[in-house]
Amino acid sequence: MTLRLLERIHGHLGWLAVIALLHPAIVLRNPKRSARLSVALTLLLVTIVGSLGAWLYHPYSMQLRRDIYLASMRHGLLFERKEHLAFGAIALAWAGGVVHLLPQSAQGDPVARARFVHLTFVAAASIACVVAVMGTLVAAFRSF
Amino acid sequence: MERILPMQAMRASNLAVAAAVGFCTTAFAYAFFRALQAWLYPPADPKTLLTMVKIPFYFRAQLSAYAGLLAALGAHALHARSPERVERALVPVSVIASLAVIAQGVLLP
Repeated sequence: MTLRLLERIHGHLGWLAVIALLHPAIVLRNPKRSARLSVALTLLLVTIVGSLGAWLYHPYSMQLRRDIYLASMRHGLLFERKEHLAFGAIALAWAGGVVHLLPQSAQGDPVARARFVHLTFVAAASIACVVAVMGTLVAAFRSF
Repeated sequence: MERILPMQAMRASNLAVAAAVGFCTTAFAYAFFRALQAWLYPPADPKTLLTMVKIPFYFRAQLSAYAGLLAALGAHALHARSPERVERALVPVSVIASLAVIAQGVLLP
């Protein structure tokens, strides 16, 4: 019951994280624009969702994984894909986030830094959107 | 408003770029290790496994985080010497990491 509840919370927060990632991905198209609060809150949310997912992965592996594969190979593989992509999305969001959040010097290439931040958030948001769809499909198929 | 001295800003910028390279490397390394694992050590059929002693996902995540840390240390040293070159490489690094994550996720679940 608790696992089922946590899985639901993970799913809902996951969709919220997708929406949160979209904000910096859109706003930071403009290299002069700053969105520190948005980026900080997005990273916080993404990290909470990822940590909850990582914590749930153990009971999933022990209790649910075999059942899903037995019922449908396609859904089993979909879940594995989701985990891999989610890990990448979180890492990319953090990559862009640290560059945007820490104070920047005038040295170096500020335009390249701004492009990097925008690109990483676009990639993270796109991947996270696919992850959320995959997660919803698997959760609708089989749950704790 | 917070005033930041140029030297402090340089250090923070150095740290941020190093961390960014580290996170991109972590994403790339995860995809690389999964591909390597799928090629060299194909997993057993999940339908036949009653339980798992070790969960490969956690092991891959730890290993790729370690690779990211090493890359961040390297990027920190390089950025201190030539910030422009490292920062110009950030975009290609993020593109390579994103493509690796997507390719592995789609082709080698």
